[in-house]
Amino acid sequence: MAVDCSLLELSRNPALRLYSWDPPGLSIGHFQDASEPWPPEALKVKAQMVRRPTGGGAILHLREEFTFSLILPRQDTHRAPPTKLYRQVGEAISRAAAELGVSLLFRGTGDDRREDPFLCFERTSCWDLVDSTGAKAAGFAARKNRYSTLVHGSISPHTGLTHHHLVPIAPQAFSDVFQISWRSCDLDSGELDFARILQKLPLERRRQKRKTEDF
Amino acid sequence: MRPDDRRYMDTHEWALIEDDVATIGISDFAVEQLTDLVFVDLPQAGDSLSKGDTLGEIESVKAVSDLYSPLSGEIIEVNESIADNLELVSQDPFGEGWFVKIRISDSSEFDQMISAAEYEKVIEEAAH
Repeated sequence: MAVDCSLLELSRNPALRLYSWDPPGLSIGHFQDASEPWPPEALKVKAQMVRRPTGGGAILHLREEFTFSLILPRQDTHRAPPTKLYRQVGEAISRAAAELGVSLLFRGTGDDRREDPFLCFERTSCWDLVDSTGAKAAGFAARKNRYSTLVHGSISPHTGLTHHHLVPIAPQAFSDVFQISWRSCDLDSGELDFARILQKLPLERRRQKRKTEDF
Repeated sequence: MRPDDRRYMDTHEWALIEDDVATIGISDFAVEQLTDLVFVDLPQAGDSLSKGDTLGEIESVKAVSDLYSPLSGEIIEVNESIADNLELVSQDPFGEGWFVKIRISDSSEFDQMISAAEYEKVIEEAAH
């Protein structure tokens, strides 16, 4: 999460990060209460809690889960509401899933409300991707600042789509939808240093009053 | 045309000055882009801000957006009524949906903000 926050603040180019979780993680949405009772499955796998900069509900990330972060410069998303981004991201994931013979479709109905369940995958939104049984297969959430937009996405392993399956396919699907050519690269020293600073911040939400350049 | 009694930021905040106190909010365009607002987190009265600092955060459809202070100064009042009634922001972003009032420390920063006409251009350019 610290790397995603660093890229959101400092990167001026699009970025796509694909990652898995070891140990398993329980990521909570930016405004969620960290003292909420954990789901039994999270206790069972001894998940570690992390707070996302993005909104939405908590997600239990098992080791094999496919998770991604997409960072887009502000000029590319300035006028786009979050829902347009969720639609594009959903299209990319649907394309990748289709290549693996799995059909995922947008739910098309549902609302996000403040009193929603704690867990993301127990919430319904019209921008969710669902499998052929109607079960939620993927959830998305976003964060916007003055420089960029970050979209987090998580694909439930119950779909049979895992990190191992999707990593070779997903970048091309995102390229096709967003018209971006990816190249593999490391964080630069500034992004890395800022991520290290963010990593030391406590789990409790802290408003960032200072500007990035103050760090 | 948006109200021309105030000035704007290209990040969609507005400021309305009366003596040395600025009322800060976000534009109708920002509200339209955010769609359904579900949560807002604002600072406390007494906090000091510099121009460009993060003023608060607002969540809509699982998206958290940073709000920025267009002016430097001390927060003297927070609109507590919007925390439980974000429809005030959705329905009246230039009036009842204001966020904070700041006792400004540098009036020249207000002049550096853009006029309503210039803000219209920012939005139009963003659309193309």
